[in-house]
Amino acid sequence: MDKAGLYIHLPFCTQKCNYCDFYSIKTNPTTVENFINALIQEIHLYSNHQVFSQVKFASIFLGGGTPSLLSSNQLNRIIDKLNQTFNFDADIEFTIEANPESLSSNKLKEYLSSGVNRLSIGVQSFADENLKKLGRSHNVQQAENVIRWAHEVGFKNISIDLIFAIPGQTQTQWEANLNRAIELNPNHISTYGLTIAPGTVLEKRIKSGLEKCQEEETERQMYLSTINIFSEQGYNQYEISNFAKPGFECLHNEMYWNFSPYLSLGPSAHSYWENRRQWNVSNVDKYFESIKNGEKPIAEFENLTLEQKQLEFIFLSLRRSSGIDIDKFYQLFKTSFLEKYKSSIKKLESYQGDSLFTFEDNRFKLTSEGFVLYNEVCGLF
Amino acid sequence: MKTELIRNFSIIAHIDHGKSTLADRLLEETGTFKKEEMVDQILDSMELERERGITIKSHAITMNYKASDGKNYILNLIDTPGHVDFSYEVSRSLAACEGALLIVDASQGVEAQTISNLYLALENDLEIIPVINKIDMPSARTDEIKTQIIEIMGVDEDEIVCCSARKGIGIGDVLEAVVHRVPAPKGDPKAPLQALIFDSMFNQYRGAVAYVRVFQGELKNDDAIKFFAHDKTFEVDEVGVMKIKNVPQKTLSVGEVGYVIASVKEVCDTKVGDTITSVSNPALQQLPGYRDVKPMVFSSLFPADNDDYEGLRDALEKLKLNDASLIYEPENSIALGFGFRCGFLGLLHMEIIQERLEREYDLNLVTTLPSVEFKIHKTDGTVETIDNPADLPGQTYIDYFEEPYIKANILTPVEYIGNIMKIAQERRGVYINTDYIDPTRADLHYEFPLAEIIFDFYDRLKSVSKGYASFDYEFLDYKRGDMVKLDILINKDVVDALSIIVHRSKGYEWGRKICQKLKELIPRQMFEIAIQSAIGSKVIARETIRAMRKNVTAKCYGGDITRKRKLLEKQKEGKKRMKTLGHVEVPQEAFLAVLKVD
Repeated sequence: MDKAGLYIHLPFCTQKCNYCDFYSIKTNPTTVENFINALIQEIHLYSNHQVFSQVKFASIFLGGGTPSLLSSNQLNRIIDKLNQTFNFDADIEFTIEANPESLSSNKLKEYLSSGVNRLSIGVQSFADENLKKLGRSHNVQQAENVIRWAHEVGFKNISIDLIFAIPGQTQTQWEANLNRAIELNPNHISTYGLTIAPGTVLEKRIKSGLEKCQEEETERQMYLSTINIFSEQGYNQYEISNFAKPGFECLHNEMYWNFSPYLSLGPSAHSYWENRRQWNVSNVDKYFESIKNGEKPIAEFENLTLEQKQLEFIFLSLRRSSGIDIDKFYQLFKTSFLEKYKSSIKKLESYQGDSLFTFEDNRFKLTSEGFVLYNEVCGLF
Repeated sequence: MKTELIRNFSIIAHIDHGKSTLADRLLEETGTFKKEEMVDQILDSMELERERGITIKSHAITMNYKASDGKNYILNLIDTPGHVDFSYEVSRSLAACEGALLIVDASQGVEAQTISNLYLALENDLEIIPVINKIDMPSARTDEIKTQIIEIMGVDEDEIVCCSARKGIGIGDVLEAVVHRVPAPKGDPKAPLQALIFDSMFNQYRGAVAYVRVFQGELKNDDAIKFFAHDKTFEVDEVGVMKIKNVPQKTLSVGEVGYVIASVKEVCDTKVGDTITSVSNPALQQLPGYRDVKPMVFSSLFPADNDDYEGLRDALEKLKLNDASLIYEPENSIALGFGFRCGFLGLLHMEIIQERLEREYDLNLVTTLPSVEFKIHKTDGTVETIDNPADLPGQTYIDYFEEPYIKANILTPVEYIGNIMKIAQERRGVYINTDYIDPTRADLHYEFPLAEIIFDFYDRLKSVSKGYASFDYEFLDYKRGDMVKLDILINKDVVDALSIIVHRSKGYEWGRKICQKLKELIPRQMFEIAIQSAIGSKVIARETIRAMRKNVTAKCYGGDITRKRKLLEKQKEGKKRMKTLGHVEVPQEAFLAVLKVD
C-alpha cells in the first residue's frame, strides 16, 4: 500500500492578514486548549479506520492558521496521541508552519526535540513596506532572526514562503527579495503570486483606489525572473510555485499531487483515499459539536468518477516539472493521453509565443511559458 | 339551443389589468368549474403564459348561467391573446363575438392596449361593456378612471361596471351586463355553412383541432367540409363544445362556439380567420377579415453544440404543428454552422419560441440579432426581399432599400412627453399628432421604422417614463430608407452571424459600440484578439483584447484540489456555451451584443 500523509489544520491566528480568505479565528487560550482536546478526540475516531489505521504515514504537516502558536506541551500531547493511534515511518518528514512573530530560539529547540524536522516559515517578503501592505504582524528583522535561529538550533530542512506582485512592489525589489532569500540559505522556497481574493481587506483597498493591482506584465516578469535566479543558485523548480535544493522537495505536498492517501484533521481539512475526497466542516463551533457527539466532523465527501480523476490527474501533473507521465496515464485511465487530447495539444501548439510545453521521455511537461499561463492551459483539457 | 339565449363575448384589457383573474371568477360564479377544480387562471394553460402573465394562444369556454330574469343562458367566453404581436389573432377572436368586456385597472387607468383593443372591438361592431377592475386596491382611483372611460368611449357613467375579480366583488353585475347588453347572435340556420376559425391547436392523437363560431348554417358530424384558404376537403369526425373537457355534440348551429375535429393533419390547414363551409352546399363567400399572417421579425437559431442540429429541427417541427405563424428554413452560417432562419410575428413571439425550445426541448441555442424584412431595389430594376443581413447583395448591386414602418400610439402621463419625444427622435420616429385622454394623459401618434423598435424600444420607453407609458403598434407600409450593412470582424474574419443592416446615420455609432461590447463579452485568451466593424471595405472601429500574459496561479494543496477541479468543470460547462470562431472562443451572449448597446 502507498504511504500516507497526515495533515492537521490549526485554525488560529493572532490577526487576519489583509489578503487572507482562509477560515481562521482569533486566538484565545481557552479555545486553543478546547481545540487540542477536540483534535485528540478526532484522531481517536480514526483509530479503526480501514485505511489510515493500517497504512504507514510518511509525513505530518501542521498547517493553519498559525500552528506555531502551539506551546511545545500542546504539541507533545498531539504527537503522543498520533503515536498511539497511527504508524509512522522512521524517517518521517514532519513540518510545522510558522509565523516569525510566534517563534523564539527556545521554542524552536523544543519543537525539534518533539520530532518536528521541517520548518515552513511565512516570511512573505524581505521588505517591511511589503509586509505592512499585506497586514502581516511580523517585520523583516523577526523573519531573519527566525531563519538564523532555525539553522543554529539544528533544523536541517527549512522552507520559506515569499509573495510577489504585492501592490507597490517593483521588479528590482522582488529580485532583491530573491537574493536575500538565497543568502539566508533555506533548503526550500515557495513563491506565490498575490491573489486578490474577494472580501479581503486588500480587495477593498484596491476597489477604493487606495492600492493598485500589479500589471500582468510585471507579474509575468517577476515570475520568470524567479525561475531564472533560483535555478542559477541551485534551487530546482519542481512545481509551479515550489523550488528546492536537490533532495529537499516537500514530500508531504508531493503526496497531494500523486494521489497518495492523506488524512486531514481539524476544521475544513480535506482527506483523500481510494478515489474518495472528504472534507470536514469549516466552522469551529460545528467542529466542536460533532466531536462532542462522538462523530467525525465530516461536512461532505465525494467519490471521484474516472472522468474527474482524469481531470485532477492532468491539472495536478501539469503543475509539476515532471509533467504528465503518459504511461501512467494509460495505466490509470486505459486511454491514450495524446490521442484523447489531440485537439487541445494542437491549440497549445498554435500558441504564438515561446512553446508552452515539451514532450520527451514519454512525459508531457509545461515550460516556464506554460507555467505562466497554467490556468489557460488547464482550461483546454 | 335557441340563439336568443346565447351570448358570445371576449375580455380585452391592457396587460396585467386582471383579465385572466376575471375570467376565472366568471367560470367559478357560473359553476363551470367547482372551486376545488380551479387552478388560478385556468385559461392560461401554458407554463410560459403563467410566468409571463400573458395569454399567448386564445382559447374559449362555454358557461351555463341562470340570469336574474330566470332564463338559462349559454355564455361563450372567447379569450384573446394579450400582446401586440398577436393583434390579428385578437381581431379574429373578436370577430367571433357580439360583445366585449373592456377591463381597465382602477389604479392604472386607460393604457395603450386598452385603446388599441377598444378600436379593434369597435371595428368588429361589438357591444363594449367597460369594466373597472381591482376597485378594492388602496391605490384605486375609480372615479378618475370612470372619467377617463367616459372621455374615450362616450358612455354614461351608469354603463360602467365596477368589480374586483380578486375579491369576487361585482362578478354578478358583470354576468348580468353580458346577458342584458351583449346582443344575441343572428344568422340563418338553413343557409349554407359559414364557421369562422378563431383559433386552432394540434392534438397528437386527433390532428388539428379548429375552434369555430358558426355564423350561418350547421356543422354536423360526418359532414364533408372545406376551407376557403386552401380548398382541401375533410370529413367531420367530431364537433363539440369546450367545458372543463371537450363535450361532443351532434351539431353546432348558428351562434354556437365549439370545436371541430376532421382528421386535419396540420394547423396550417386550420388557419385563424379562415371560414369552414360544407362541400354539398357551399357558401359563396368567405367571412370577411381573413389574411395570411406574415412574420415581421427574423432571427437565426443555431444549436450551441453542432450535434444538436437534428434535435433543433425536430423541435421546430413540433412547435410548428401548433403554431402556423412560425416559419423557418435551414441556414448555413460560416461562423455558426448549420441552423435555421426563423420568422416571428414579433419580438415576444420570438422570445417565446426561443424559450420553449430551450426549456421544453432542452436545447442550448445561439440566437442572432433580430432583423426586419427589407425590400432591396437592385440596380437591374428587380426587387428582392431580404430578412438576413448575410443574404444582402454587394453594395454595387443595390439601388436603394425600403424598410417596414409601423404606426404607433404611445400613452403617457403628460410629464414624460419630453423624454418620450427624445427617444422617439433617436429611433427615427416621425411625429404625427397628440390626443389627450384627459388633462394628465396624452396619446402620442408616431410612425417608426420597425427596425428601430424591435430591439429595446419598449424597455427604454418604460425607463424614461418610470414605467407609466404604454405602447402599441400596427404595420403601416414600406418606406425608403438609407440603410447600410455593418460587418463585424474578429481577427480579420467577417462573422456573418454578427452582420446587421442599420440606418446610415447610426452605422458609426453602432460599429463603435458593438466593438466595445464584444470586448467586454469575449474573455481574454492566450492570443490577441482584434475586433473590428466595417461598412463595406471601410473599417470604422477597432477594439483589441490583449493576450493573457500571466495567470495568477493559486496554491494547490489538500483542499484546493477539489476547488480547482470544480472550477475547471464549471469552465468546461461554460465553454459548451461558446462558439469557436477561428481560434477565438466567443460566448453566446456576444451574438446579441447589439441588443445590449446603449
